Amino acid sequence: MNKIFWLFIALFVFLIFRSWFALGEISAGDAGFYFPETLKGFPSFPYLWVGDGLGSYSSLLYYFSYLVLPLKLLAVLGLPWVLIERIVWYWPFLILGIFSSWFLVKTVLPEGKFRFLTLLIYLFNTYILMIVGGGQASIFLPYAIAPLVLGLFIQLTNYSTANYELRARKTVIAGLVLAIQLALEPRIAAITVAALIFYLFFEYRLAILKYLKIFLIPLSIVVGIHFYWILPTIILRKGSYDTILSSFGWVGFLSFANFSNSLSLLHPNWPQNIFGKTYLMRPEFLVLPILAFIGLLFVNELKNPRIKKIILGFSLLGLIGAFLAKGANPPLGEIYLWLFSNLPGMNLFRDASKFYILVALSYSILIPFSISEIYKRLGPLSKIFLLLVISYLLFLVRPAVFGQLGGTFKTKTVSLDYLQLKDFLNSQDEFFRTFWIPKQQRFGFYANNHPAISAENFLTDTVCLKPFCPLKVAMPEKWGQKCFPNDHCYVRELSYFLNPQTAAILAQMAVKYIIVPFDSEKEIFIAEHQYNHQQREEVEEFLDTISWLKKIDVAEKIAVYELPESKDHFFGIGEEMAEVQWQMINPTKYKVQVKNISRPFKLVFSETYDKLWQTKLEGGTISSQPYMSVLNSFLINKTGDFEVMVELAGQKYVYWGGVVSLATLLLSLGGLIYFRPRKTRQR
Amino acid sequence: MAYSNMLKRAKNLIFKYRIYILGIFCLGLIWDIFFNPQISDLAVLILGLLWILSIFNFKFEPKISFALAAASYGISFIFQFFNQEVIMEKGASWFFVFLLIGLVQSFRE
Repeated sequence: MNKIFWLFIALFVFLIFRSWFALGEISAGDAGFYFPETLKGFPSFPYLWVGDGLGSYSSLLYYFSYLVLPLKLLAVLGLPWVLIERIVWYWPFLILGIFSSWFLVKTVLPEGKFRFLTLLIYLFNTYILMIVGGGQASIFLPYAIAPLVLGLFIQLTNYSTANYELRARKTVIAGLVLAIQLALEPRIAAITVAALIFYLFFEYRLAILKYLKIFLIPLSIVVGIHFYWILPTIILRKGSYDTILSSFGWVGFLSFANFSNSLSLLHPNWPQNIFGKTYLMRPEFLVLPILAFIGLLFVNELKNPRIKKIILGFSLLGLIGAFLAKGANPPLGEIYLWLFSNLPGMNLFRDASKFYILVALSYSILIPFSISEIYKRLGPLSKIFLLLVISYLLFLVRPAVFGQLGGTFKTKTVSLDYLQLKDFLNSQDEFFRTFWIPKQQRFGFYANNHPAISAENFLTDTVCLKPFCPLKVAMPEKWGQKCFPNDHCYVRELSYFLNPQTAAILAQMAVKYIIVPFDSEKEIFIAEHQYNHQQREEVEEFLDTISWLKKIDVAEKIAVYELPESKDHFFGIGEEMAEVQWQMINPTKYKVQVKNISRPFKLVFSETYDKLWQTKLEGGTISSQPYMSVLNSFLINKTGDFEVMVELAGQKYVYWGGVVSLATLLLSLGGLIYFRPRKTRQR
Repeated sequence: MAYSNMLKRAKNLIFKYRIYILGIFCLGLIWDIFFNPQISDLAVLILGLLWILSIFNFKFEPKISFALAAASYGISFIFQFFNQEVIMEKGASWFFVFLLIGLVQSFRE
């Protein structure tokens, strides 16, 4: 019977995730696409600064060890992107998700029947299918690990202190697995730990020492391993997280689910997964909470009080998850808003839907329990009932079964135009940036010496940043007539191109080409939730009228314009004869050679201004001053030929923290070897 | 001393009028689900409190709360088919409230 169920699970995994086993790119949503040339330029070490766009603090720092380094290593080994994305992101989700949910159900319901239902519920629910479809690897991978973390820590509560070695090994493993989960997404790790504390509350109540016994060593391992980014984050107060994540006004906007959705484990965007487009409740989903909570009727008949406590605990966990997942929506939505403003760390959860994980964890334990209890009582009808339940669970996700979901569930091909653009850009060795209007397309090429800037980072209908914001002028009425009223109008955001100063500003930002992408995936020029080709046409028509832009023929469907002039990554101001050569040692350190200097001058470094950038010259340091409000510049009072080092001062904290991280990792691995099973050691 | 006396008197008063409290709760619940055009936090809080008082007064077992949860969910389920979204949502909300109270009762036991 067991073999049949496993075969059945394997069949549905292949059926639902068939695109992951086929050839072709599956880049969609948040899951990017990278050319090998881009991947090989990824850093081999965590750096505080990334040169993407105009340069910024790295938001990749905490997930460097999993989501950056392996991509680079596999690219260096010569693997194509179609294989890399599957090896690093998609296949681990399936392997980890199956193993991890199985591990949890075996831990909490060791004698439970129909544990395979846990896999069906945890891997095939609408929430995770939408996350997977949207390519949110940093959510679906830690989601897949969450049951494993929970199971490992629950096991720790079961071992007696007499079995010291086993307990020590499990403690180290729990710490390492939680560290991996944190490396993927700290918020999901935080939800998992919260679920764990909640579970332990029913075991230990307020016995703080018992919590310490469980958490002290694993959390020390986690903090130690992640110290390379925790230390600079604390000292520099430059979070790895974008501050926009914690803006209060977003919470209400991003609370898409209502109570019926969250209780039914129904993602509000199911099945089309269009951001912000929610659908009416579907009655078939309302049966799911019944299946989950009907088990409560049988709880009092259980002989094992531990199982009773587990079922009640997971029921409460599911309810709390459903309450939080609806975010600021009524009833009592103010509680979420209050927690968001007052509970430390809660301000990272502007998108409340992440709490669906708690509902998924809860139902993946409760439903198998309920089904097994009903099964026992149904006699000859039991098998039919089980078949009906399985059919029902698959019926809920029928768009996935029948291949109707988009996103990463569909393979795609990189358009020839983007390959031509890559060859064109990559054939030029000098440093320059590309400026994409309105934003870089997912197949748009970029590399360390050709970073891509998206115009929408500076100017949209809601954003207005320097240096382009002050350049805005009145836009002639004829532009934007094809736009929908009260919706995004891309061409009207480009009025700064009518200002002649824009050419000089772009040149100093090292922009050489302006690019209007071919929207092959129909995800950029969106108006009223739909692709609007007319808007793209209008943007191109508008740029055609700008006299200082020269349209060049690179690819048929991509509009490329060349600027009359573009500056290098480093250039001198006030000394026209200066000859500046530079070499990037890493994204936080540059060696710059300056020649023919006859008077003091300003050395401009065209990366986003930050006061931590500094120049080292003859034992002294010169701090960066803003240039054009956005770039770095250093006033140099030396003449002749000389060499300066331009460095980001905060990187040293990453190195110091890195030593602690490496030491913790080695100690943990040493602990695993030392506390290996006794039998193996005797051999 | 005065405080404990006051608390005792309040408890006695609540116990004395327990049938009215239960009655107000029942009527209030029906009004909130079927006639209140909004999803009201205040109604949830007040009626929830009245139900908790009734549990103490009548020593209701958790299964009564679970039964109310099931009934609320049944209402939610049925009104889904009539496209009555507000009633459906309120049924789901009350399902949550009763289930939560029932679970806490179970843990206390």
